[in-house]
Amino acid sequence: MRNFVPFLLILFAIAALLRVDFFFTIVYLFFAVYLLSRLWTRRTVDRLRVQRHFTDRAFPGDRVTVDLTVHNVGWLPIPWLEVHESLRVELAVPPFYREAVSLGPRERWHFHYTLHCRRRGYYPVGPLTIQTGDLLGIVRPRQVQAAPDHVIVYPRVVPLQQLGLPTRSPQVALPARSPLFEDPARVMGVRDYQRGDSPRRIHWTATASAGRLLVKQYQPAIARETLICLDLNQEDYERRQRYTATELAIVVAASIANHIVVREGLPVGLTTEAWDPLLDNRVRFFLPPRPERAHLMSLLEVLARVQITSAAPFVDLLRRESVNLSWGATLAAITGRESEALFDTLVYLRRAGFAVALILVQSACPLTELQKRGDLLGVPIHRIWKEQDLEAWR
Amino acid sequence: MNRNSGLENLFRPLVIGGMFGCVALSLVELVHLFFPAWNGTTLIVGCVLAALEANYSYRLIRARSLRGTDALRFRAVEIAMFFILLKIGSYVGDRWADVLADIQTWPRQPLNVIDPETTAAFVLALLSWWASTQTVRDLERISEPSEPSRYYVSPIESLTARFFWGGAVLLIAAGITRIGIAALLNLNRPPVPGLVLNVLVYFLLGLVMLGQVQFATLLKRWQTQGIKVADELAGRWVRYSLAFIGLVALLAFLLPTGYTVGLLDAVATIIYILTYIVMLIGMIFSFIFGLLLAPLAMLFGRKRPTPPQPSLPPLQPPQQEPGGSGGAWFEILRSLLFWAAALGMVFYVIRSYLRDRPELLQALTSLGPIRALRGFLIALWRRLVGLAEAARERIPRRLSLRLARRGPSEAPFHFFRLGALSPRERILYYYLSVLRRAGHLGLPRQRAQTPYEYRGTLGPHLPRAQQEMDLLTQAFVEARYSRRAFDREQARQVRAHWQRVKAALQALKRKSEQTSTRIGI
Repeated sequence: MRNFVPFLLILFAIAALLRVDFFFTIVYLFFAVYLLSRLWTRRTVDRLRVQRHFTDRAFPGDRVTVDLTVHNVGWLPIPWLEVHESLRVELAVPPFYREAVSLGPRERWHFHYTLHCRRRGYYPVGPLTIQTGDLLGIVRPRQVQAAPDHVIVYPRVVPLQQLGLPTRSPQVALPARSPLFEDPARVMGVRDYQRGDSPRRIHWTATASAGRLLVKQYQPAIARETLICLDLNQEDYERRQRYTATELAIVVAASIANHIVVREGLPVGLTTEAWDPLLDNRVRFFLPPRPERAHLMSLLEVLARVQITSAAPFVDLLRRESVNLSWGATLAAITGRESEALFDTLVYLRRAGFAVALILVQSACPLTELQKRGDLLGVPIHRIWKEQDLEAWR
Repeated sequence: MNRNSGLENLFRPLVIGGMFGCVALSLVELVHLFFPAWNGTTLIVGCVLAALEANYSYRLIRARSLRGTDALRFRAVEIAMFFILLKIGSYVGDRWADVLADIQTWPRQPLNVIDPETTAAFVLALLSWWASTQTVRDLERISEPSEPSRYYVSPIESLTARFFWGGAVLLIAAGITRIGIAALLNLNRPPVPGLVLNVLVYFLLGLVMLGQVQFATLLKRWQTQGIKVADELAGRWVRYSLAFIGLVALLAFLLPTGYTVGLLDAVATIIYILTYIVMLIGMIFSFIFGLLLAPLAMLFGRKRPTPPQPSLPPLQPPQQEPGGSGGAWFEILRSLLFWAAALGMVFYVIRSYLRDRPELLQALTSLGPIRALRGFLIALWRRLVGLAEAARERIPRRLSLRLARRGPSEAPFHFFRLGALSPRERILYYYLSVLRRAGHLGLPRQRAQTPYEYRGTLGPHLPRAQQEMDLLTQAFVEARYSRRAFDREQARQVRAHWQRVKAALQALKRKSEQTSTRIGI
């Protein structure tokens, strides 16, 4: 109200000039209105506390109910309060939640709204803007903002029965026919000592019991670990299909990781170079292979938030991160475009002792030549364009 | 009748009518000063009815969508009806025969119809009607979007301006009525006490109306933007508004409204009281000094002098204006409170007004004299703050230095229980005890010496306890400067070292005492 203060001064001047005592009461009345309105508004803003309660992780298609609590911790009531919660259009349409309420002394108000998790991503829920003011419109409304929280929507996971990826890793013990390795932790039985057996294999207790030298027989095993190398370099995807292709590549990576951990109980890792909205920067991720489900969730969290970027060439990533892997590990390279440099790198990795698979996320193109070349190089090549293609691996 | 229609069709017209009635009452009282025989009741009733009718006719025109000549015809009939009703109202209280006689003169003298009394009432009622129509129109405009024009005045601004200017007119009219035209220019006249009811009603209704306007504005905005509004909000708004207005009214009635001592006299009174207090203190000091000097004067053979009796004139209240009701000092206190409230109010209002308008503040501060004054005040403030900070820094330092000069023997006595200390504190105590004892033996630690350096100084004097002194020093340094925890066992070990060092110091003391005795000191 622009003319309130001039009016107050005029009122004071009239009262001082006419010297009618009661007019000073009127002046005080308006001054008290002015002063208390200002103090009240300022005080109430300082006495607001905001809390959000919601499940901050979801899968596409989930609905997340957000319980937003605005608490007036002071003893003064708040005559009106306009609450504006900003949301992302991927989570809610319209992309905000608004309500006007009034809060009594020490009162809590619960707002409820639902987020529709349609697409994977790392989304802010908020910020919450609260506007309040006085009863008479004398003071300008005051605004406060509460910091946003975040929700992670995991990428879609397509259940796969079998991946068909090559395995040649000694890290995780699994029963296998060819006794390439034996696991000393898994004793299968005993047999008579033969010349050349290591003295460390002698089962001393059984030997004492049987009265002849017996050696332990171990369960034969091989092991495998898989590193998913996801290419999120925008140059490696066709411009027109960039968004679809990268999203599909992420779905492929998530599905493979899920399958390896959940179905096969094997370790899986992830490496990619992408834009991270959490850090607001380009980040190179390397999650070493591990078989736990918790690890799978952290892997899916990374896949939920990564975005395409102009990163270093994919082949550099492959070469650099393969250094961190054990001999015989499997590398699943997911990219949108094949190239001579990529094939050279894959051959190099294969010769370095890794099992390599190439998954191309691109629209239909003649695959026969590529597969022939892949067979020649010992690199299985898969092409994915629709999510249904993943189902073909069942 | 739902809540909104009740608000628009009943509450608002009544409030507007009541407010215009209050203004009309003051105007009638003012006119009474000049024409005491005039009956202004018709005018007051006419203004209230005109305000109510304005609300009704405005809605009717809007509902029937009357425009152009239809609207003009409607308005012309409405105004004519006003005049007729006011004319009829002017005959209220007259005898029927007089009324008939007056009516019979109309054909011969048509100007008799528009007598001055009726014309004045008609003009005022018309003004009330016009202002009321504008008010209703502004209330309707709240829901409309603002126009992109330079000259656009928002309905809220228009409403508040009308309310404020109406209030100013009301105050002036009511004030002149109470003090009289003759005393208007006499600034030394006594204040006028008493409640002015119509002024109070006008402003209270105005505040209630402002609250309703604010609510309507917010509600329209929220509805336009599709914001969900909680059901409780409307009810709470009314409750909080009434409570708020009640509270501010209570505050306003509690504060002093009159003064019998002018502003300059009030300042002079404060200075006078302060000077009086300073003189009183001086007098007390001189009396005490005189008492102390009295025995000294007796030594020189003089008569025992009588100490000077403090004689200060009694504190006199300043000259007051006539009109005070209580005691002299009560009136002064009331006046001081009044001026403090008034000046504080003006200062706060101007300060917050300028703070809300930084561009205006910047323009003001760029003016030469104001800039110079501001610079002077800022420099003065900084100087004061600097002095205060220096004092805050120096006084504790001086005090601590003075305490340090007194030495440990002058430390105040207090009970001390070693068992109540924590292990760390005990270790500190053992070491400090050694320092104190060594200091008494003439081997004090110099201020610049570290514990290890002091160990080098004291160690050669304690050849039997040199190792214990090393361990004690080591323990002290750890207890004093490290964060590691100490347990009771460690404290017990250090205690053993301390006891040996203490014994060595006692032996040294005995030895030095024997030496002193031997050489006859």
